[in-house]
Amino acid sequence: MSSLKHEHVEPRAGIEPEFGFDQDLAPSALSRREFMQVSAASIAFATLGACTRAPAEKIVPYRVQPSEIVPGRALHYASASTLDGYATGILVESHEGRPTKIEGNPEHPASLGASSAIEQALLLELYDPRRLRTIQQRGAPASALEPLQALRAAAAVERKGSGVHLILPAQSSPLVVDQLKRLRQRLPELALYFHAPLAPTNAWQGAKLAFGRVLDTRVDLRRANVVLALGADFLARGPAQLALAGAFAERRAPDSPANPMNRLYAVETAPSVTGSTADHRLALAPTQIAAFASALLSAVARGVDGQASAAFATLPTPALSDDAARFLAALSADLLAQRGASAVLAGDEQPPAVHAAAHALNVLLGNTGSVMSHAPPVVFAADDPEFGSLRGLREALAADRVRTLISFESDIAFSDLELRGLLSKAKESLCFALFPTQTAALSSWQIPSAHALETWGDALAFDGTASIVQPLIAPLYGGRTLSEVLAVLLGEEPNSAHDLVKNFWQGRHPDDFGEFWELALARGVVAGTLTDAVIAPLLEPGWFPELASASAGPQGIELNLESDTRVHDGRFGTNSWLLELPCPITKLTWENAAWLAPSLARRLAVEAGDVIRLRAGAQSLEVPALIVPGHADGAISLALGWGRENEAGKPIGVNAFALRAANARTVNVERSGRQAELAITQGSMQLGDLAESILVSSTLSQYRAERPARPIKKQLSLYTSDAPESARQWGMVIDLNACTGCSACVIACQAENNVPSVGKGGVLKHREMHWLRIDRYLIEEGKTERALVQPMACQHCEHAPCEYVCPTAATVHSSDGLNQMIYNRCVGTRFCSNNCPYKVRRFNWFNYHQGERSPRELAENPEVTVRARGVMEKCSYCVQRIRSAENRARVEHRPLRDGDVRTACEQACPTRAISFGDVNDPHSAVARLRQNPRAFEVLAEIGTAPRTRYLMKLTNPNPELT
Amino acid sequence: MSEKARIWAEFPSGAAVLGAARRMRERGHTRLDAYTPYPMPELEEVAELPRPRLLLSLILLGACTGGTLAFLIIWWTAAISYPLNVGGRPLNSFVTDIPILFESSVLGAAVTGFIGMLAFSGLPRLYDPLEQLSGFERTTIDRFWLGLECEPDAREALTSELTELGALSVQREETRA
Amino acid sequence: MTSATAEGSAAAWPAPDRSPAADELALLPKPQTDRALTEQLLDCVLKPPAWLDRAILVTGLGSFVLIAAVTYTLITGIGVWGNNIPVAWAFAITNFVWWIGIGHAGTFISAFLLLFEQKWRTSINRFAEAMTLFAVMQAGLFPLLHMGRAWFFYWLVPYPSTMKVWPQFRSSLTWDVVAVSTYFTVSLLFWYLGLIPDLAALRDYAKEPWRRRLYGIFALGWHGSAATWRRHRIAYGVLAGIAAPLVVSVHSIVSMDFSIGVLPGWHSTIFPPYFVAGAIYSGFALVLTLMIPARYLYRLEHVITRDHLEKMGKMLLVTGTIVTYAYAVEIYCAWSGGDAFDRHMLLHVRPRGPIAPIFWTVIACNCGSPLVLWSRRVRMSAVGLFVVTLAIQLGMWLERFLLIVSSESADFLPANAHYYSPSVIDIALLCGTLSFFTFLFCLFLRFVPFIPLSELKALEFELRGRS
Repeated sequence: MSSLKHEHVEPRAGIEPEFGFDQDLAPSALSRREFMQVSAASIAFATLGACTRAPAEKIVPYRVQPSEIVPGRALHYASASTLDGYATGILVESHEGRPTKIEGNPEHPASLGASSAIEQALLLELYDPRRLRTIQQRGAPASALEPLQALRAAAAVERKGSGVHLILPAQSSPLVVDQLKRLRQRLPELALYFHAPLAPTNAWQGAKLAFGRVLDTRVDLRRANVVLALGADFLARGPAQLALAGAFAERRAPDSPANPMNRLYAVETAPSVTGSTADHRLALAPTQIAAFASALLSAVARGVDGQASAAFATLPTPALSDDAARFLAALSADLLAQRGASAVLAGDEQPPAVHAAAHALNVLLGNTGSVMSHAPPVVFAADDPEFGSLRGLREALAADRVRTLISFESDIAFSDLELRGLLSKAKESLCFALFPTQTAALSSWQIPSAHALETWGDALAFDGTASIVQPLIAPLYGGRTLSEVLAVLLGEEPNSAHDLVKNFWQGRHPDDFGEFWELALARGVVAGTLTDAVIAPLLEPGWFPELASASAGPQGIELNLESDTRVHDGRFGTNSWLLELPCPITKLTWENAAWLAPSLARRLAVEAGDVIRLRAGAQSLEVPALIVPGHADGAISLALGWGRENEAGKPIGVNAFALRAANARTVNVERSGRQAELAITQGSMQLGDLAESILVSSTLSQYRAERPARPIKKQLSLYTSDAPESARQWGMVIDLNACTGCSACVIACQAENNVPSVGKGGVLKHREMHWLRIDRYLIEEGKTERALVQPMACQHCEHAPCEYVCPTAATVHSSDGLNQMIYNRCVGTRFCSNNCPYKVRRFNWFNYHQGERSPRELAENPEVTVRARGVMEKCSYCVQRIRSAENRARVEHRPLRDGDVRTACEQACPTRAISFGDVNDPHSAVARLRQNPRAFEVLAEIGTAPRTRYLMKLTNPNPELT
Repeated sequence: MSEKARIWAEFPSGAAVLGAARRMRERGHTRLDAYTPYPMPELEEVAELPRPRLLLSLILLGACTGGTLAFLIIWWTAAISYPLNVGGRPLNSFVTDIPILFESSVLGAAVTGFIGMLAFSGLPRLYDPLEQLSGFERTTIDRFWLGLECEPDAREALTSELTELGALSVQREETRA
Repeated sequence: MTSATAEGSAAAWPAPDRSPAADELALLPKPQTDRALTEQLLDCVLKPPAWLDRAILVTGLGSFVLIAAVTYTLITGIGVWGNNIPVAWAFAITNFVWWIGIGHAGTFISAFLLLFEQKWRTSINRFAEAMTLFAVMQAGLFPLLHMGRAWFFYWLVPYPSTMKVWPQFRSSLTWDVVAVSTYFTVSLLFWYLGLIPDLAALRDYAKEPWRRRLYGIFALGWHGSAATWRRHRIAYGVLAGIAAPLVVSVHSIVSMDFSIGVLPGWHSTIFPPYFVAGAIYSGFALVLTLMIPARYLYRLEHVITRDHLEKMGKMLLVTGTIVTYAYAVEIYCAWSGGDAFDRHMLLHVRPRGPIAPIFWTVIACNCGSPLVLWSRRVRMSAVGLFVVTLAIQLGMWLERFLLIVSSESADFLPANAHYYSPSVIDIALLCGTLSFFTFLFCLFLRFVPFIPLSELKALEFELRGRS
């Protein structure tokens, strides 16, 4: 395999060697040299031989010397994925030069070993068959040379870049930032825009209001006893979500006296992952949240002495509903009791004034400095008030002042409908994109850009820690990297992205660069790049009017446009893993819907599935309605980022950016009379009186009083197995107290185990294939409902009902306690599924795998069988990982240690809710947790003796609110 | 006895053949035989046909064989040849064998019974010398045959007697296979 | 000495009382000669009515629906059916249970009634046995077809395998394989054994040489010597004695496909008797559904008399009552038992859930419709009975559907609650088997004496032969 690390092939005649490496070999064309490599590689490899080429330059594996490459053994490379400019460290598993799985990088501050659904799904994006493959000029194939010349012409120094408009995604890359600064000097008249519809601009402006300068806020939730989320879904959104969720979960353990269980209050409009996890949740319409914030601020200000607070005590307190008032009273008391050990977090969707209020609260409560800290923004040009606005471009286009429009991986036509109409007015437009986006369709040039796993680059984490992005595979379709494009605009010596990155960092670390570089690549983080916190004194509040106007409730139904945890700003709007990932709250797949509170739906006489017409200003949108218990009454929520087109050109969901353009706070609702079928995976969320046998929950105080509440007694059985048992017995424990339901594990499982997606039609027929799903239940709690989540996969029952009904012994028990599924023995009677009380078995109704027809096949894990049509499948406790760990231990002549085997779901989980190991080893974490007084088995009374146990969900309510 | 020949009397109805058979039996004629379109238990009594004990015991044997075979297969495959932990059940879980054991016994019995019945009756056969008797093909429809042995010299007497008893014809069987 | 043996044998074989009861005479109202009976019954075969060939053609074409649906399923995958997770079984297994249940009445009529020396069975038993055979053929189709990889069906059979991969005999599906195949074999043997004498009669009665040759082959050279008749009677009796418990066992095993499961509404010990009763019930209904038109079309009112119909009506009444009782007990057990899931299933999901309409139809058809049979007038009227039997067919099919789908669609975790709706292919398969069944039945009417000739003659002799 070392032949894969070859120096790059000679470019064909007529193509200049510069401008990246051998990018414009068509995927089919093979040089003699490559042919030799390809024929040496595996079958899947050979299907797209020319595409799966190792990068030309030497890349450094994660803590493994390239000399140790063994065919069949996966290597892990550290890299980073960026979203809105913020980096998350990843480790990419590579089989024979083919990335097959993405994990979090334990050393990276934004990951700490965990990963979100989006990082997991990057893999599918890489192999998406819909990616742009060739350079095209108005639909006609073109050589790499022509766009290159176009760029050169546009970047001619004498023109100073006038008429040249450059649109980029948000950037934190030190290299790119440096290039941009130099580009501004070289072409002063070049217009630069950043396209990041979901960048935290409100937070930045909020900081500016509070402190007079744009700052990033960092939170250390391990120190917070009380947390208030003002419309902030910090557990499932934002660049620091994984770190925050981890820290939050550390304080949810009820048993450790050292750090007592924290308490989370959530005030939000639409139910979110954070809101569902909160001990107390208050549903308010957006303006009400602002009102609540200002009321809380004045209440707290009155509670703390000192002249700092005096300014805020005068803040007028808007009228609140009784519930809100009670909530506020208890909350403010709690916050004041926990000064210096609490945190108030405002969500990105909240107006700047609310962020300012949150900052003020944190300062008054003395949290800033202990729990909270501030630092200059890591995203370039974040302090530009115009950041993210494309108004300048619109005006220029309207005035025909745009000579060359260069957009890089920015689908402006999708997220800005006004621009969509104007784009054709640009004389010449070059669109670098991964997919045939709407912008690409409207541009004169379509040029494939390189995927994150194909490029060299660098990026900063939310705390400024730098990572080097290294490619796992040469660009499948000869994609370009931003730094290469900028280099051309800078008219520099042509250079590959690799050299650009390397030279840049060499400039920063001239001495001992060699080992610095090796280490940076190997660890995935550049040591000592964390930006220091700054002390920012609070200004005299001049933002009361803004807060007041934000809280002034306009009449009518308020519109609440939110980011989506799956498709983000639309970048992942065609990624079938994420599209089929059920929404953590509604379990809706393959589209977005308008969320209404049951009470509002009653008032509007709207049923679930009715298509309603939302009218905001000039804009109107038809979208199916979904009735969501726990949603704020006075508002309708809609997720952004949906509405990208599928292969058939049909939109997937509706594009809510249309309404955002109207920039209206309220919306008119009318029924269209049409009905839509919603692909919802979960049958019913009502637990009824079955909680005791399915999902046990309690409150901290109650649990303390009556612990140990529920000893697990071994069910009596007529049968005793006399089959041989090995000393090692695998088992899993899932802590429902830590689980937030973020669903990262679902995609991790899908990626690890080659689980197919079945499409909207499949979900409508209830044929989704996820081996691991997150069940969400609602239980009555006073006037409101509390949401409980429960990851549900095969329970690996010791007395498995599925096993004794299989006529061909296709599912049996292994000696180490696994409930095994033997695919090639299965004839597909489906009796096992009928008899599974948990219904976690999945059936291959059709032949779901596209085989060699699709590059997606390259994403599949060679360690896991691809299931044929007509057989059952289900969670295997990642048996492939168990066996390879056992083999490794055998080879190294050592016993298997606890933690050697980590299932895909366990590894991805940001809150460490899942533990896996040998239940017979008294020192293993699992064995200890199984004895935890909170442990219980689902449907224990059936006598299935499940190997997976759950830890009871506990809440820590404020006595004053119960 | 060997020179004794068998003669066959043809009767138009069950009643007639039954009457004739009774009379002949009283006259001391043994080894009566008869052919009828439908089963006539009385006739069988008169002809003193033995109860087919062998057939019955073979059927019983068939049942036992079927059951035993089934058990051996289940026990050997599940407990000896390839033991597997299936739902924590014992390898040789007899309770769950019962249905199959019963069915297999039934199958054994039924098949033996069917084959036995045919075999003992010499069926299937392609040719029967009796088909030489004129009108014998109506046996299965509405003719009844009574067969008895007699000395060559007593034949005329017997013939006339049978005719009195209502025989339509009395014929001599040429050679009995 | 000879007389002694005569007495001895008489003692061993006491001649049964030969005084025919009035209701038995009613079974064959007017005296007929053997010849007349033969001509009449065999002419049904030798001079078939014109409509029969047309019926064969139509139903034969109809069977292509089945062939098409099966082919499409095998080529594309089970996904072309309406099934899902949790409802992994639906139409296929419903059809299986329904068809096999129907088969049981055939055996019941010929076996049980033979053992109980019910003379009236004579005119209808072959009818019923044929129905059994063809119904079991339909039934057997579905367990094969519902498998995701039907071409590996032989893995359920312990063939000598070098890989040592044996069937898993704790599964009720392997029991099914043995039970159904045994049942089919025994029914076939039983039917054929009874048929041999009549085939012989057909051989001797037919004119055309090809018929004589053809029927001759199947008659196995039968001539009906007393000794053969005796063995025949005994073997037939033994087979009947075997078939009777077999019927009970087979449907008990079928019911275990559900009762060994853990699902609420399945995990119940009353299933075996409950299912057997239901099977006999639906089977008797189908016998009538087929017999009433045939009786009319072949003008056999004096062979299959109103008296037969009346007796069958009584059987429906009895079995229907048993089934009703079973429903009541099932619900009572759930109500009185402590199992929350069971209670939810039987007291809410079925009578009040989305499947409720089906539940109430089942009650109306299976418990309600037979009540009219309390009136003798309805029992005696062919039309009235015919309507009731149709209602019962429908009711019994829906009962199995209800049982399977309701328990699967709302078992334990509320998250899994999903309902089911059939696809076109599902319906095509059901209609296809109906058509194929009728096709086979018409062939049976066309080529085989469908009323046991020799038995009828024997009956005639028993009733009037000596006078």
